[in-house]
Amino acid sequence: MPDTGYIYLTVDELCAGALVHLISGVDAQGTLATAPGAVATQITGYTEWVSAGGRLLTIGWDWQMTAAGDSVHLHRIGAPSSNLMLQSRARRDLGHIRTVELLKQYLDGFNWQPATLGHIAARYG
Amino acid sequence: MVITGSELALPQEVYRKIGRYRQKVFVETLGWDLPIRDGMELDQFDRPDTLYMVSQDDDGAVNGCARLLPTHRPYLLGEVFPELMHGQPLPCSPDVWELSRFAAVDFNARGGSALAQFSSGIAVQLLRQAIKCAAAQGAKRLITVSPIGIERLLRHTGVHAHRAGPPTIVDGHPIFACWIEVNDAH
Repeated sequence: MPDTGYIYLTVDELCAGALVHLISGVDAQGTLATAPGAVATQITGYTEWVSAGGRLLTIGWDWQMTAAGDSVHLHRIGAPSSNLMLQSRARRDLGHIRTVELLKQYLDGFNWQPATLGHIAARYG
Repeated sequence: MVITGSELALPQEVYRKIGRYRQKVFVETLGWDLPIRDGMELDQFDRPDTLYMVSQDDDGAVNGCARLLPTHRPYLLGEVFPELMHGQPLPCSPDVWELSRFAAVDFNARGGSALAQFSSGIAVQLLRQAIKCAAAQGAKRLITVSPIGIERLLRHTGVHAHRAGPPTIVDGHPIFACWIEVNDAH
């Protein structure tokens, strides 16, 4: 890896790899928002994932928990942080902004919620 | 107001206030196991060539601080947390400076939390000043060891930063090394 500190991958390489859950947490100052008449509770936190293989890809993002009745959902909020620089198939850097946008799309299609919820339940339950 | 300087350049009382403020933030509030000297949190990286940023309120109480070290001399990541680079070469260049002991806790703010290490306007001002100061020293990049919470501040400030590697869990909290681009931000 060059001394930029980035891991360079194409979108195809990113999608072909696997991410492993590292740690998740609830914000110490998590917001608790209940509008008049609403039943939803909102809590925020973070989740951290790393690549399963030898290359040390790291991706972390914030989430918001919404609960209505017995149902709990986690939604990504904000931009993910990583050491990833995505490249085109021709191996040209896509740049920081484009990488973040593509990473958001990737994460929103990735089923990260069960592992995160399981970890949160074990850590704080 | 944020002022910057080395130990020798800063008024002696301000330097002592930085040490006491760091003791209050990092030892008393965050519970870090750090050496205390005469009520001040000072370590081996507080040297004559270390640069400090200190923010004070209208009454002169410190409400934020940060420290800059050149990486071609001993620095925190290189000496204490080299594992955060996960086998990558440690920075060692006058072009790369380390930002450490960054805090912006306003103990006099009403309704504020003492744990809001990165969340205030003071933090933004302090970070911008640190980047400006590093640039004046010829730095092209900063590296910092930090809890992952700093990424929210970096995004909020619009600073171009990315991780140097995965976080490591210390006492249940993820800490990591982070690159901050000086040229993009300056």
